[in-house]
Amino acid sequence: MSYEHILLVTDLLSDADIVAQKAKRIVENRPGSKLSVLHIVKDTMVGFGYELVPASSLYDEIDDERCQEARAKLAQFLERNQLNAATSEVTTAISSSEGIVSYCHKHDVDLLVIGRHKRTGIAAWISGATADNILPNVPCDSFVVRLDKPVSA
Amino acid sequence: MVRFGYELVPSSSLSGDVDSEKWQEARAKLAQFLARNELEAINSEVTAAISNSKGIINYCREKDVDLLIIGRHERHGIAAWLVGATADSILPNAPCDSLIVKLDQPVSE
Repeated sequence: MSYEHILLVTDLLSDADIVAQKAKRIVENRPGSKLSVLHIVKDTMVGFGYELVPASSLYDEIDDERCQEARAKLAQFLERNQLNAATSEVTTAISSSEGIVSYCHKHDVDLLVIGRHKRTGIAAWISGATADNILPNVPCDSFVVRLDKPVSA
Repeated sequence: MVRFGYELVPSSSLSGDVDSEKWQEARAKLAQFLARNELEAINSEVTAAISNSKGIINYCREKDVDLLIIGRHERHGIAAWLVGATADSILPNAPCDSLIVKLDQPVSE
């Protein structure tokens, strides 16, 4: 079985380039495969009594500014890494893992490429890494690139 | 594992036994697996460890592995809560990149 639709998920931080280069090499070695790039912007949540509701369901433009910023960053990211992506997308979702998993389902992704930062101490217990959260739910194979500690920007 | 007072100790560390029936069976199965898939492996090894994840991570560290390929079975319900999949427990500690191949529900043999 060969991978035809490869999805690169990126947080657009500085060490995302390492992951991008690896994804690029995978795609280059597989003529006929297409690359998509996805960045998730987390929904702004609004407290509604006991419930949390994504603010975007109340006001349409609430996340626009953050999305536009992310789109500009994503464009830079693609250019810097010379990625030939068939599609590149910024979407909002209530969590990164939620957004990634539903994208994979919708677009028939064969291989997901994602970076995983090392987490130690309390951070590991409380939040864990996005890569760990998506594994149980992704409908496809995944290539997890090991990165060092989280970077700030 | 052997119980030693309050502790559990791997029995292989006591007997040094690496040729028992269990080991031979595993080696034979591995050989069949390699032949069936026509894998040209430079190394193929059966080792003992207290858990799968521990054994895999130690091996990666010792042999400077660059890429780890592992299958991950889908787990549902209580099984997912209690034990989880081996692939999940490896990720936080693997010293290299990993390719996780999605499989269906656990099979028996």
